Amino acid sequence: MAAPAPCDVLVIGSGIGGAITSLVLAEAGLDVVCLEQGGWTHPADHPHGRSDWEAERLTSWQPESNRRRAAADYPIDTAAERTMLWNAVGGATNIYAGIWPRFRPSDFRKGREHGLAPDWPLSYEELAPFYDRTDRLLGTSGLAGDPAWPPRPACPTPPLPPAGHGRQLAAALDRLGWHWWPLPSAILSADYDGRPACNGCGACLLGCPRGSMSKLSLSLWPKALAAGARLQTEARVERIETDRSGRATGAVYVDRASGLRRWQPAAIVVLAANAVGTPRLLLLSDNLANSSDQVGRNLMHHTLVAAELWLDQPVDAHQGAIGGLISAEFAETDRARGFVNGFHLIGSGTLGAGIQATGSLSGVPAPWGNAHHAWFRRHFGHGFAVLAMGDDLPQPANRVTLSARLTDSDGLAAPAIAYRSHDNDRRLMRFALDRLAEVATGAGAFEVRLQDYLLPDPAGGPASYVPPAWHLLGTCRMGSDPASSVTNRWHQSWDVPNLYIIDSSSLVTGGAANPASTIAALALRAAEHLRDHRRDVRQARRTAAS
Amino acid sequence: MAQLLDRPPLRLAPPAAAAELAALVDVLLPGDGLFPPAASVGVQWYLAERLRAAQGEAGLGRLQAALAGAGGPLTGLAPATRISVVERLAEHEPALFADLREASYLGYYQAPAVHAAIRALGHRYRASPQPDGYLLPPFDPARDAPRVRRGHYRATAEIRPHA
Repeated sequence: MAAPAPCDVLVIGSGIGGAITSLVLAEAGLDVVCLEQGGWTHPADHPHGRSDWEAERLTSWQPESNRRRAAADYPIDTAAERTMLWNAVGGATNIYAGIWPRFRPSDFRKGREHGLAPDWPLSYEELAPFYDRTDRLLGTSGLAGDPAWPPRPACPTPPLPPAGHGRQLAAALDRLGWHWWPLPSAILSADYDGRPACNGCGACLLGCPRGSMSKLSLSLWPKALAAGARLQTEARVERIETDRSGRATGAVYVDRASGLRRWQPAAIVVLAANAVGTPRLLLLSDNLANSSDQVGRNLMHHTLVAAELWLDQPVDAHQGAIGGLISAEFAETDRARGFVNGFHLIGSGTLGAGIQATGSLSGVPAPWGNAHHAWFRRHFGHGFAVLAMGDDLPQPANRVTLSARLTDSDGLAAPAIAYRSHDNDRRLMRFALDRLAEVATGAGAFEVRLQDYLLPDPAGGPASYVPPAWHLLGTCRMGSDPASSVTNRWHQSWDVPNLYIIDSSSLVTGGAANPASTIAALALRAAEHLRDHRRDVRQARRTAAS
Repeated sequence: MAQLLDRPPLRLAPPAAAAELAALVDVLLPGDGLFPPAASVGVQWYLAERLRAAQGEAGLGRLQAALAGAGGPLTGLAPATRISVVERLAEHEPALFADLREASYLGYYQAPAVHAAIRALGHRYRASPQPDGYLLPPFDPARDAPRVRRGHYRATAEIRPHA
């Protein structure tokens, strides 16, 4: 096994957490090595310039890794959900939609609010400056002044141009007397930081080859590399090693190009492999950092139900950025509704004619045969989607473990996922479906199809909620008590003082909206704290609570 | 994955199988005066390649066997009978049929002649999202911001236990 010189900081994973950590620490002059099991996804790799781009969305650019089965992917042993992730430089930012709302102050205080989830060891107010700075770092668009969130500075670029479906949805919400606001987005509406403004191609769900959406391989990673960070691609980490004192000493990884095992020693290790990959790697490393038995537990995905609706007026929802506007009308807990937590409504475009005909969102394809073209004339360009994304409760039994039957291409045990929605969350989703039906009525839709992601039980039992798991959250949550959390409030492992976990697994609750902005803000906060305390961390024998 | 083929690559399917695929996609997506029939824009070749990619060389044979089991082959049958065969295929082989339908739709809507038909309906529609995209008028606060500013949040200090 080759033995390179130890680096100051070894970062495992190059998504939002890993990229921001690498940038901050490299700019501080530290020797940073980042290991990424995938490769680069170059602009020319995206299918946006090809006529088969929609077929690619369902095959090579399929976000569900178990269906995509790319060389860098690992299998996920689960029938409980459809896990979505992307293994490449920049992680999920290669295929996310750049939807960038912040969490709400109450998201950090669910313990105090209702007690079915813990409080975070930090507040919204503590995180707010980092939200502001990551907006500028990554480049966002949006409109300040939303009464449904605390005050914030203006985004670096104005809101994205509203598409036809956004105007219609706004009118419908106005008729209902419900809140709405232009959706904050990590997509540029004007040239910024050397990247071009969005040209409204509408194919956000296949990533953004222009870099208008903050795809980290085009936005942050060039800066991190220029600052001296070293990024090793095709490097699948097998285990994190520790010494006799229990401190991390580095990681063994498989160089996927050669198949050789290699060793990367480091003074500090940062794990940033997402809420499935991170617990998997800790479990593969002899149950590392898990004296609390919390590693892998409390997996969250958000609750999701959706409506696909069609109006008489043309909306041409294949044009413009996929996200339109957001409504926080039902975002806060109101016990009178019969559940705790809340949800946001998010308007969404529809990709192109092929995807619309296949019924990608509702799961109901257009008719075949002689009725097809009549359906197409009536529906194409007249439909859009509204998602209701809610906060699912963290539950210990919803967890990532190691599969006893599946391995990846390097022989490492695959992650196994158990996920079942809480009764509270099912009540939330039923309420949200009713609200989506009201939106459709308010919009004057001539047709609406609701999607509840319930899978019937062939044996006649209750249907199961099998979510499209876009958002992988929890599984190594931070906290104030080593007995009930994996890290302290600075993302530092309670058990291994020179091991940090800086990714979506750190989240204590999931909020009720897309988490990327919160993951980024947390990463910046944690990375700067690590930068400022690195000398202490290099010597630490125990982890302090604050 | 393959893009739509405008010329039949003979390696993908022997003539009899190609004719059967052409008949199938024309049942799924017939022409109507504006929209062309699927086989006329080569959807059968796209479907053949998708079958090959998903199931290997045996895929085409499995499809032909399934069609025969539903009353096919389609070639040689009257149009109404072809529809009945495909209805039986959809009923008896729902997973296979769903895959065929999805591939046929995705192949069809990448054909230039179909894009032209969509544009003829009055929609701005490009063969691919890039490089041109769909530029929209920029956000105008006077026109595009909420006129009634609704909404609320609970600040951290205001959060109290719910009854």
